Amino acid sequence: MISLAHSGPAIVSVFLASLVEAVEALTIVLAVGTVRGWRPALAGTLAGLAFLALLVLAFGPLIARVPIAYMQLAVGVLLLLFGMRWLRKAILRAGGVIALHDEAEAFAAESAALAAARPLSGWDAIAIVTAFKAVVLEGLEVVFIVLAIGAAAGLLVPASLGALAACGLVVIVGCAVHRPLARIPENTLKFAVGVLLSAFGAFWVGEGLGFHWPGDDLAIIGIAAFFLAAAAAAVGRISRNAAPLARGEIAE
Amino acid sequence: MKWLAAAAREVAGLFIEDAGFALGILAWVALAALVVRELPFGDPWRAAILLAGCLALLVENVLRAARRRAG
Repeated sequence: MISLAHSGPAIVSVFLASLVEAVEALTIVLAVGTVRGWRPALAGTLAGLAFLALLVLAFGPLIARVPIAYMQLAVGVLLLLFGMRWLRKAILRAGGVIALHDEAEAFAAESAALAAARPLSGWDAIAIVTAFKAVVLEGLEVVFIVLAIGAAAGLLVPASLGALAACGLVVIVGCAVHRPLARIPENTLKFAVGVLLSAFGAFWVGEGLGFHWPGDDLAIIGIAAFFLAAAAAAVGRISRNAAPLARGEIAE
Repeated sequence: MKWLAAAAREVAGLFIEDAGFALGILAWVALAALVVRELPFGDPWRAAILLAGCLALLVENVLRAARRRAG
């Protein structure tokens, strides 16, 4: 039986991470739809979603066959790499070392690139590929997080529902406002998700190596608190010394 | 085959942005598996050492990245 101490942070992590990725994908799809038309934007999006569904169908059952200790270690290592990469970038953004991610800026840049691309007759391959790539690249991160956290914690169904809820929410709001969701505090969300994914990574690596964390599942909350404290201390330290960003510097 | 290499690069990019940082994490996990596991401590201490190493890697890397940019 999975405790709420484990399932709560797992579902929150998946929901928030999916929210961030869906917002980023929406920005590109909106740019494609606005500049090149909605038919290729939808075609690329649907093709991307179908590709992601195939990946889940192919790899989901394989994961269930891996012995639990190996899976915990493998998932833990991947989550550590993935989560600490997010957290590293979030710290550097919060500390002013790299520019904050701005959806309005990303939308403008993508729209300008699409408008400059040679118009094509018939099927607009540039538009379809751009939408497809955005959905697949952002969706891959969602699929990885769902499979990693869901499979290692035995929470595949709730994790999938959390991801679907986040993506559905972004699609509904995106369709309603027809603008990039620039007011979502994406950088703060990425910081929080980086902390949570790093905590899950450390927890599962420990479990996979046979170290037992004090407090069992509750340890995830404690590990996340340590990551948050270390990240906050690092932000405080580097923001005191960071040189101002160059004007017009683009966020990664 | 070009698209396959590009796809592989994109997937690797999900986990690796700063190669030194990623290698440091992998090296620390390997060290934990080979050395920390053999230390004559109880499990909570082993787990605490694993976590402390991860935190140290993270803080060292971001401070170094900030210094690099400032310098």
